[in-house]
Amino acid sequence: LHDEDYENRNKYVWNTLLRLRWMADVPVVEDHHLLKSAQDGNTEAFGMLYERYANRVFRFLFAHVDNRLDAEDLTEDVFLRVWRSLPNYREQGVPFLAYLFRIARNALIDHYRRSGPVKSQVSIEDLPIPDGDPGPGESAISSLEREELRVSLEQLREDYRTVLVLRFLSELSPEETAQVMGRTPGAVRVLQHRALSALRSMLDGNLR
Amino acid sequence: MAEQSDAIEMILQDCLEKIQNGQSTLEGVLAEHPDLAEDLRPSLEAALWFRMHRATLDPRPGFVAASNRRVLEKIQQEQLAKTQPAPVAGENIFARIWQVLTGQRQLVFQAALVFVLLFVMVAGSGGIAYAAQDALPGDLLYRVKISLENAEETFTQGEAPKADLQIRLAQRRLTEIQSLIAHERLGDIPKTITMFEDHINRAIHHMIAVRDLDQDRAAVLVASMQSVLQEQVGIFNQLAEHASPTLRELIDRIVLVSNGVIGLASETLWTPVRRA
Repeated sequence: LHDEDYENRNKYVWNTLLRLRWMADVPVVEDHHLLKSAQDGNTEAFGMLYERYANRVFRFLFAHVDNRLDAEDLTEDVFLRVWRSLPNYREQGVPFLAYLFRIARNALIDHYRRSGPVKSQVSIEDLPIPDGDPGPGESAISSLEREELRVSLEQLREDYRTVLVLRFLSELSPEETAQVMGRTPGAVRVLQHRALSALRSMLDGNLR
Repeated sequence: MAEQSDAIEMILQDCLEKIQNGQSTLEGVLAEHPDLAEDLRPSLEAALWFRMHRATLDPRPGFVAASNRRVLEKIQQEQLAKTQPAPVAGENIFARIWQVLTGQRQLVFQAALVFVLLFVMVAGSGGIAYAAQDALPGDLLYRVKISLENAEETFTQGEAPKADLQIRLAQRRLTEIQSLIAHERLGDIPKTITMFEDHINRAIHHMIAVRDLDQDRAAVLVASMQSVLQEQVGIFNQLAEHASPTLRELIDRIVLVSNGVIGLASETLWTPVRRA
């Protein structure tokens, strides 16, 4: 497809392109093309955005809530909110990824309001070890590692936790993180450095 | 002082990017900045530790695909609801009845289909509906089978019976896949796996509702689901030993999803709910 075809695309072309996305010779569809198509009402394009970013959103949410099922429900809720707000979205203001994670943060705040924040200041020794065989899909080691990560996060200040989760779990750039957190990229780099130092000190403390 | 601090932040960011892109290692980037190595090392090590734990927060296998379908279904339902006109006061009674009927068109048609199928079943045992029970995905009668299942789902009341039904339907999909493998009809397997994943996800959501009301009942359902899946995983593992690479890939997906769900059940549903 030529550039002008992209400009003059219609739903039929897009749907065909999306259905054939697994073929090696189909170019990667950029976010802004998918977004434009989704804004035109194409759910298949929105489904592609979902597949592209659901993992990152899920990790962000699962790092903040204390069970997987809540994180699953919230992930779906975030994308439904995104879909509903698409008519109001203008890319010039905020890149899509930052927009998506702003909505994820709001969904998380609403979740906290409903059920209260996760427990904080919990020592890893106080955490219950899951009963029974965790099954081959989830080893006991990975379950403990997750608890270790969660405990570490819960001991951090809220802004330190947010910057680390956005940067290293959700893989946002400093610029995108800055957009989500409403700060400048420079401020995010400083915050990231301090958060990493705090995390390192805490890990040292836990190991002692 | 502020400038020096800002420089460290920039260098730290640069080091992180180099490590992330595989252009260098921890020791490599520290060697590039020997003067700052002592300051940079703790932060870089913390970042690596954090990144190393990332996979522990990944969604369970099959979740993204199944939830994507659920979200798109909800969106389509919302779109459909928006396009239906609101009833206007003073319209003639037949028009309003028609609006009510078309507003719930799917339900009305489903109910009509159920009555027709029930009639067919009652009137002619050994007829179409009966024959449909053995239909496989891709067969002419398979739609009848699915319609009957949808009807059963519609008329099943209560979260526990609904969860139980979804577990049975998930098991049915897996036995259908085994039949498809026996008949070498691999083309019909992927969509059947998708249906299996949907049943499992619905079962989980019903079980969450049960768990909040009656943990013992939820535990029984979880044990039932785990038992079904463990048995099926055993069968599919045996089938995989003699499978072609294409078939093995499909079987791997089933096993991965099943094991993921078994793990999830142990982790979240089986243990008491932790409230904040």
